[in-house]
Amino acid sequence: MALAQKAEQVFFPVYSARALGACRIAFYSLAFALFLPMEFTRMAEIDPSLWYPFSFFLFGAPQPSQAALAALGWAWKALLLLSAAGLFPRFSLFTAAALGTFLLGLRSGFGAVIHNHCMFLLACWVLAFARAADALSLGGSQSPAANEARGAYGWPIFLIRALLTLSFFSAGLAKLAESGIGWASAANFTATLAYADETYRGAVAFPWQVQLNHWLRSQSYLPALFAFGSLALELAAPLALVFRRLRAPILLGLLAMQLGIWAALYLNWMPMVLCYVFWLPSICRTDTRS
Amino acid sequence: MPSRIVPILVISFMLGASLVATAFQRELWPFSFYGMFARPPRPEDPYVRVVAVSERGERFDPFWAPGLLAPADRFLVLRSLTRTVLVEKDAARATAVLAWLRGLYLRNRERGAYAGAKVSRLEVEVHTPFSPDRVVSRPYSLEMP
Repeated sequence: MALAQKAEQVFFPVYSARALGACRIAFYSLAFALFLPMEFTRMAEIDPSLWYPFSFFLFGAPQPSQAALAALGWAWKALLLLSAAGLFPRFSLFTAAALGTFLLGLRSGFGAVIHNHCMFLLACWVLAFARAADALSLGGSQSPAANEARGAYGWPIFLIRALLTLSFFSAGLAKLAESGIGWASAANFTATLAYADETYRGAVAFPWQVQLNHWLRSQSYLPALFAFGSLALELAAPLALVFRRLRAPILLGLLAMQLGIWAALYLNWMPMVLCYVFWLPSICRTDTRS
Repeated sequence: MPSRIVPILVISFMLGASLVATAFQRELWPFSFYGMFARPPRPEDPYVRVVAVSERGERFDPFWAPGLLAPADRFLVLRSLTRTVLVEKDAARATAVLAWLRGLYLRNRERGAYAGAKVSRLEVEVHTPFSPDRVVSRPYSLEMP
């Protein structure tokens, strides 16, 4: 009985409908701003020889025309706005997740898989099944008081946090399993910087990023410090789920790490960074946990 | 009172799939970024790049030819070639990808030129980041008309 109660507290924490509603607004508004400039029409111009079916595309690979991709792209962006506003939530949240998975999946079907969008899409799918628009919604309130105590607004927040921390933990564990603590050596991290410079330079947004990459590679101890710090933060990520006092330092450290990855390794994890908003109810103390 | 069936199913599926995805990776996108048991890229891993050879014999990286391709397109070709050459070892597809790139060059030949010299050949080279100047192999090449 005690175990069941503990599990209920973990998986169905008590958060208010307003807390989840605020997360929904922040998450989809930022997503709209982030993805607004994204073009999908160029996927239609790419030669089919570059297409590699994967995941659900193994069941069939549609090749939408340029006009269809343009329409779908704008429809998705509109759905992100509708989701932020909480209008027609059952339809908008679910369709935003489905259409986003299709469109961002198309981009991943050419060559290697793009991982930067994965966590964002998983969060969209969690919200698609949640009562995320019961408050702070243009669709109107649906008397959420009875649901709060049963964790109807807490489980999506918990699940997105768990998926986020698990992703960091699994990345840290993979590094340890494959390379051991040697992954955190200066030599390995310098080689990783060199690999990124050779492979991802096409994604550089600002020239100072290349300078930063080259400067870091010329340092003796700094690469090891960053590598060890990153590995420690990744492995410690699940602790943010459990210990409130560790939450802020771990999350700020992970955020700094992802910004550092963008700056020096040229990889943009901003869609994943959006998921940090689901920690705001705890940080801002807007939850109703008793 | 809301039912807990849907939340329990979603929680089980999401957490379960993220664990299973560590074994299957690419096939389970978008769960595939859970790399718990996946082998991360090593610095010594080979990678592929296309080299353009000018009519004067200069060799240069066409991906950085200014104005030729948008960054996203450079990326797509680079990654597709890497997969084709190193993972699938698919000669027909590698040649098709290279032909696609050649088509882009033919349509933008002036912008793709190197110091005034036209590109006469595209070659696929296999390198490692530790020694980017050392060519491990040159498995494919395509003459420009």
